Amino acid sequence: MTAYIARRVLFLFPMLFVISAVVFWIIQLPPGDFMSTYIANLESSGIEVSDELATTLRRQYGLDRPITYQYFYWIRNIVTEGDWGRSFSWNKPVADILAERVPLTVAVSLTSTIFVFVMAIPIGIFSATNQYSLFDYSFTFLGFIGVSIPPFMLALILMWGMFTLFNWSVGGLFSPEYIDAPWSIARVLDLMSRIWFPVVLIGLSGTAGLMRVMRGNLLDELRKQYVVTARAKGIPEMRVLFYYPVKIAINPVISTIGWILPGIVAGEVLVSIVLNLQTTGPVLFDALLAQDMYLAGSITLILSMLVIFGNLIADLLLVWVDPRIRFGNVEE
Amino acid sequence: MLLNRSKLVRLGWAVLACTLALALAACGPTAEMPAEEAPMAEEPAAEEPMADGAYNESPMLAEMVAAGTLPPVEERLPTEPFVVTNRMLVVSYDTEIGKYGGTMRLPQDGPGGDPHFYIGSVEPLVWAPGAFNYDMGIYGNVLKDWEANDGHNVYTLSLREGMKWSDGEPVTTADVDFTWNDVITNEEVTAVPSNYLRTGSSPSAGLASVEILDDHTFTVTFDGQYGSFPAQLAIAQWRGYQDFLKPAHYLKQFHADYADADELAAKMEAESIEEGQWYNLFNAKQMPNNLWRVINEDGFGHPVLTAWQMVDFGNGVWNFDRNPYYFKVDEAGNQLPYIDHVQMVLVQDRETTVLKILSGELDYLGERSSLQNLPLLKQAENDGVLNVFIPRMHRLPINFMLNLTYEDDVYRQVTRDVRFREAMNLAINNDEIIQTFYLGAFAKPAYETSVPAYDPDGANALLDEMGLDARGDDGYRLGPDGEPFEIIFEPAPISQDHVPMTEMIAEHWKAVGINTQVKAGEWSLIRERWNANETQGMALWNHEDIWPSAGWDDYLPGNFWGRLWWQYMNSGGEVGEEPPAEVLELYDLHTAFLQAPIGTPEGDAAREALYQNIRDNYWTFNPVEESYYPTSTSVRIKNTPKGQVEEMGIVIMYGMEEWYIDE
Repeated sequence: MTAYIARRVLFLFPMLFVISAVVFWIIQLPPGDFMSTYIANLESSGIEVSDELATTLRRQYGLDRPITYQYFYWIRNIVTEGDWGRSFSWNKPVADILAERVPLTVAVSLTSTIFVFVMAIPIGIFSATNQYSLFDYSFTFLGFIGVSIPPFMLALILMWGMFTLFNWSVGGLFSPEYIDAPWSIARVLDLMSRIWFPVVLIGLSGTAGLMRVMRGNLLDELRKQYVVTARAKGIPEMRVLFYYPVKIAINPVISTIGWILPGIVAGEVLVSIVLNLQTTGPVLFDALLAQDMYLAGSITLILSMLVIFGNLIADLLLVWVDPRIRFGNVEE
Repeated sequence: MLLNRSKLVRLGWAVLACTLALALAACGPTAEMPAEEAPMAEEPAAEEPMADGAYNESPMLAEMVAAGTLPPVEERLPTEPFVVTNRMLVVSYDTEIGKYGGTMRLPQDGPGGDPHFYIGSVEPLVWAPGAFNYDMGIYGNVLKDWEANDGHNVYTLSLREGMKWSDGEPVTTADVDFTWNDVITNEEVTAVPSNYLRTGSSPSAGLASVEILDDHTFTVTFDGQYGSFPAQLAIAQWRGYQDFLKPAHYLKQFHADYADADELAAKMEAESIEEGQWYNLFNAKQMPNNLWRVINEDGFGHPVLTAWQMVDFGNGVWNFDRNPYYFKVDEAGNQLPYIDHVQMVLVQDRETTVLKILSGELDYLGERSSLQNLPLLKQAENDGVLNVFIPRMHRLPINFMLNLTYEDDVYRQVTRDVRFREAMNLAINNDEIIQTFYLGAFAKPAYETSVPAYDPDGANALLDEMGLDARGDDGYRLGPDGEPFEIIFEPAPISQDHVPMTEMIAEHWKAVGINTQVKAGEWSLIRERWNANETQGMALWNHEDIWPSAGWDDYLPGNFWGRLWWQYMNSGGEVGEEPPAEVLELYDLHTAFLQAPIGTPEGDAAREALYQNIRDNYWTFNPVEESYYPTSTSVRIKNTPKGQVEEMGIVIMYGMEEWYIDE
């Protein structure tokens, strides 16, 4: 087991190196660079940028250097100084931008993930055990709606509804007077009064999907021989249900942790943009559009690291939860 | 994915807006108040210095004066402040004496800064009433006054005595001297100075020379006539005072000729700037080219002359406080601006911005809305949340351009024939565009830069006469070589109307037998293809409505209709292709227009000659001119107009220091 973990961790380094190179390369792939986007933006508001000024700015940002130089300069600073570089469009170190945004993002994503689990698993179990009941049908119906409506669309509609019915503007995690106020009890309460909206919204489609997965898996298990045997032996229904089938049906749910982890840090991009949340998602989105490469590259690299770690954690959890995987390893 | 999302969002809103529009048909655009007759001819009152002690200030500043942390208002204002009267900032409606105080909240679409607040902040050296009424005179803004010699090549500019930077340091010709000799003409710092500092704004002409006469007066001399120079110092390109005035006392700490070498090295180290490149540090700290950094955190700490200055930022919020040394007062002697604080709030999704505007949470919509949102805005106005007004747009909403130097012999033969361009202009149904995109009322068929005729029969006749009378099996005309002929348009997807309008034009052109295709794409990619001369047709707005200010030259082939000609003219003939006589004539007229004194009959004649060349040659295709767009402020913001006004939206933004809050 220790050897297995060690091997997985050791693999991380070449993998991260390859990922970072590929990420950097892809960000550079579209024609033009940060300056050309910047100039196109200025020009569309009527400010002309001469070629000479563009050259000066490129030199100032180091964009006149070859891409390999830019890449190794970036990587060297990350490895030797823990410096993720500077964002062109925010004109701030990447680390500062993330420090501002990651805590709120984690707060929103973590609560919505918990919301998903708390809602989806019991409903999924209940739907499976009461298949084709009114409860099952209504949640199946809601589940399909939840999966098929994109959350940002739902966000727009709900915001509009909230606004017209209650005259309540729900965008943002804070009321205007608290956006840049220092932390205080009032600010936390303000956050609490607003955070539930994005949490529920982001959670809805996740809930719908996971509910369906849970229901399907459990239905498969419930029809198996060992469940019939257990029932025949007179084991109480609840014990039959939770001792074996639920444990097995929950496996795919655990596997999702691999991508839940980066999701917690990145946040839901489109919903965050629509709801105007101060999370990481919109920053990444804009950085990619503007070819703000150190910002985009760093966020993508961090997220890739989280995917790899998330997968490792998920694998270890599976080993721990599912004896079949554990014993399979031993026999080898 | 991205496209899908924005399309879906748009669709969603369109559905909502339509439903609402049906429900509220009564408050639609037909119920619009008629524009009031604008008393344009009235001259602004002459500036008269106030008697001592007659100035008032914001209670916020009065407290600081009482506490002894700020000098009294008389010492902060110049001896002759800029007095804002009716007809001075705006000409088509009246403003009133306002109240002090409050925080104005404005949306900002991206981290780089907001163009609306930039326009509201920027201070040019001189100002024409209502920004564009040069025939009413050009007055000092940051400058006290200016004077030209008879040859229009020597300009004497005078600063306002007693004027101060936002940190209280005096503004004198020492700042001009530093700006000109240590920044603009220092080749390390400024690789190439802006074109407008050369005679007639021509890249090949000689650079101005600056001579300091005394503490408050200096001359700018050109080696030839340059009558549009005062206009270049006004609204042109939204530039500010920065090419003649920079705070020397602040910037010297970043300049190798003045700063202590060790301190400078330490500053460069802190900003991770490579050794020896002090000019990169200097350029990162100064305001090159324009005053954009007033509203952007790059300029944090830089002394300014603008109404507000940044005091802190972070987490998608930028806070600005009033500049206690701002140089403008109203007619009653109240120091402007009226509003104490401005807070910019990052809202990246445009529909969310509109929602926050509708709820009154943010105060000004700016140019973010198209006419499709008018019913929504009017509903909120009826509910008492918004004040809706419909100012003129300063751009042509769309301009269709064919790249006449695209590398294809048949394409060139056809498109360079002026009969073809005339025919294509005749084929465009301007009225349909105005009905569809401007609710039939908020734009006019283009008449200044184009011939507003719709005549498909005439177009067909011209095309037949050109020899394009053979048609293929699909019904479209064949090229002169007998092969199918096709034009591809790549509209810029930067306004929600650009792509659908191009699709409509393509239908008009198809109707006279020219196969026209529309290819959607990403804007920076299309631009790169244009740079490589790989595009045929493009569609984008241009700044025709403000061409008379001499600050925008997007009638030249560089604006996507003659890539190689433009390169040829810019490089002095080194690269590109030599343009034909009509294009050379356009360039000559362009130069003549910039040399003529603006706001005089001579200048008007030069401008008319330029328009004549554009109309005669049909260089590009403009369906509409004089368009309007709806915008709004929350009801608590006062001194903005009501209903449809003749004033351009940007001029209303320029007057932001006159806005005030009345809860």
